[in-house]
Amino acid sequence: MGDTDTRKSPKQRRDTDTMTETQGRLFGVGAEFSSASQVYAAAEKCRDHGFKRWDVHTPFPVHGMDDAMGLGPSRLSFFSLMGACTGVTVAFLLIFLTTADYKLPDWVPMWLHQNYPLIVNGKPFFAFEPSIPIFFELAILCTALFTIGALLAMNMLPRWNHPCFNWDRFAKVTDDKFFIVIEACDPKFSELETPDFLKSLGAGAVEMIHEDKE
Amino acid sequence: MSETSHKTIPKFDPAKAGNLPKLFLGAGALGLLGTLAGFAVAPKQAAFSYLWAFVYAFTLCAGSLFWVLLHHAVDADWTVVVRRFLEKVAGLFPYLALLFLPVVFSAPMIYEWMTVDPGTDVLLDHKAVFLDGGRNGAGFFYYGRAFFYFAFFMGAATLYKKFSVAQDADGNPHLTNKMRHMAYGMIPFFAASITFFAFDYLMALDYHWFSTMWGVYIFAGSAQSSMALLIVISNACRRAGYLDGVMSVEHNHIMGKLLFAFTVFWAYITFSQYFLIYYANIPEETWFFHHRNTNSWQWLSAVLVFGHFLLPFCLLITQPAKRDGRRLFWACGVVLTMHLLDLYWIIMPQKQINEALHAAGSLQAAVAKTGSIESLHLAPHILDLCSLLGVVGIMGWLFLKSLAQDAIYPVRDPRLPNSINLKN
Repeated sequence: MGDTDTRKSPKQRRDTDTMTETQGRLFGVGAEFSSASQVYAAAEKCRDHGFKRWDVHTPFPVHGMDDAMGLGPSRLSFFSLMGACTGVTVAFLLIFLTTADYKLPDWVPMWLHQNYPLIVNGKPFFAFEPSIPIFFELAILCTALFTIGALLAMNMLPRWNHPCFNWDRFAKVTDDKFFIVIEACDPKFSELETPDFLKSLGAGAVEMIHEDKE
Repeated sequence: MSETSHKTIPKFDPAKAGNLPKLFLGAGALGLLGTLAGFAVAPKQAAFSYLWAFVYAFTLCAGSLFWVLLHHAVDADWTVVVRRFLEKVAGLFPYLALLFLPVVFSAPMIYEWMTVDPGTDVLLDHKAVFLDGGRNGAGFFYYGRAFFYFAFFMGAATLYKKFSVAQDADGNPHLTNKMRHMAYGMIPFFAASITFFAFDYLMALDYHWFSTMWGVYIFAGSAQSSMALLIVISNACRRAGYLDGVMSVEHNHIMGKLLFAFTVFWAYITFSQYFLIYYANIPEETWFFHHRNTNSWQWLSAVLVFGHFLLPFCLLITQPAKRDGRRLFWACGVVLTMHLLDLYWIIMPQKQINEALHAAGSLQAAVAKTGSIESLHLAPHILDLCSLLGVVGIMGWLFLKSLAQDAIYPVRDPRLPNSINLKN
């Protein structure tokens, strides 16, 4: 525990100590497991140890991994809801401005004073019935786009490469191996202790992963 | 193995349910007696009230059969712990067929086309092949169809109950495959039966009117409300301790999701039906909604929009609401009540329309003054309550009786462990 490395902040550690001649700065430490149940048990231990910035990589979805990793409910649904609200608002403005018969107060910007009432099929101006499919469709469209967009952004995609791929063994993640990667910026990360911790969980191979050399 | 499993078969014990079976039986007997008296005093009102109560029970049973068929057809495993409730509700179909007989006998008082002479209404003459009435009753084809619907519903429900209970005894996985293969063949028959039942007994209330979405509209209400009924029954049994270590909050979550999905589905179908009729603007079609938006009926129409869709939608939209039994229970109460009002809204205005048309001679004369039938008013009748208590009470009592006969969940279904360990 008296080691100077662990006293430094993760940022300092990344910037100074670990930059070497041949490799980029330290990204984290990776551990290879050979079965889903092993990696599941290891993930529970990592969660209980208090790691925050880490991930589990498996060739297929492992049921219950969310709980094993201690991940809370996803925040993605918030963006979906925002998408739906945006869609309905856009649809309302689109229909209202282009077909309704209205008079706005003077302080409203000039470009909103369209007032272009449109007779469609003899129905009243801006009747709610024909508007609902448009509300509905645009709400769905915007929900889908917002969800996909937020999903990519929250996963930091798209990107060209990931430091994990600098570790040769990691290629097996799409085949038959299971990996836990704890990032160096995790507050509990220690260059000396974390590999030992991962080995104690039954990892077959543990290795430091470095980012690309700049 | 079989020795121990026989000892631990969990069964519903009516003695532990307190006064519930007696309450159901009492309400049912009183309600049916009241309805019987109603048929003597005010036969028309009694006929309409009884049809309403009967269709409510019918949709709940048919919806339950749908969930059983769906469970087997898609080879689901989460449903196993609650499947027995669905099988038992659907298994009430033989009794429902008995309760259908009063509808058959009172049909000429409900369906105008049965008393219209051939040749007097050109629109009816065109439909005479399908609605073969005109002799103060209907013809062979009309009642023959009804016989087929009930034969199918009774047969399917009884078979599924039989096989499922047989598996409790021997745990034979072959029965699971058999029930699955049966489901593929039965789904088209189910769709046809519920669609044409809805055509024959609900859409035919107004023989001028037609809607091609009618079948799926009635189906949407059935599936939604029977899911609500399943949630209520399974949670009641869970609270009573029958499903300890078997049913968990995960099952509530998944049933809540389905209830939410079918709430949206009902709204989608209902709105689509309304929207297409509104847009096409064909008089024979628009009258249906015009009548139901006259006077106090339009309040009920508004209640359906907000109560049948928006309220359950808002109640169920968040994840905690689907996992919390109490909140789910309230949403189910809303859905079951609104389904009742939905059917009321479909059936009851027709009684007043029929009376107004008889008084005025024709629709044109009836609406000549103000453009709508002024005598249309929301007019709840004591016979509505009697019929509802009668049908629901008797069905509830029969359900509890039949639930006590076998294990409360399929104890030896090969998928039971998967269902118990369900994770969303």
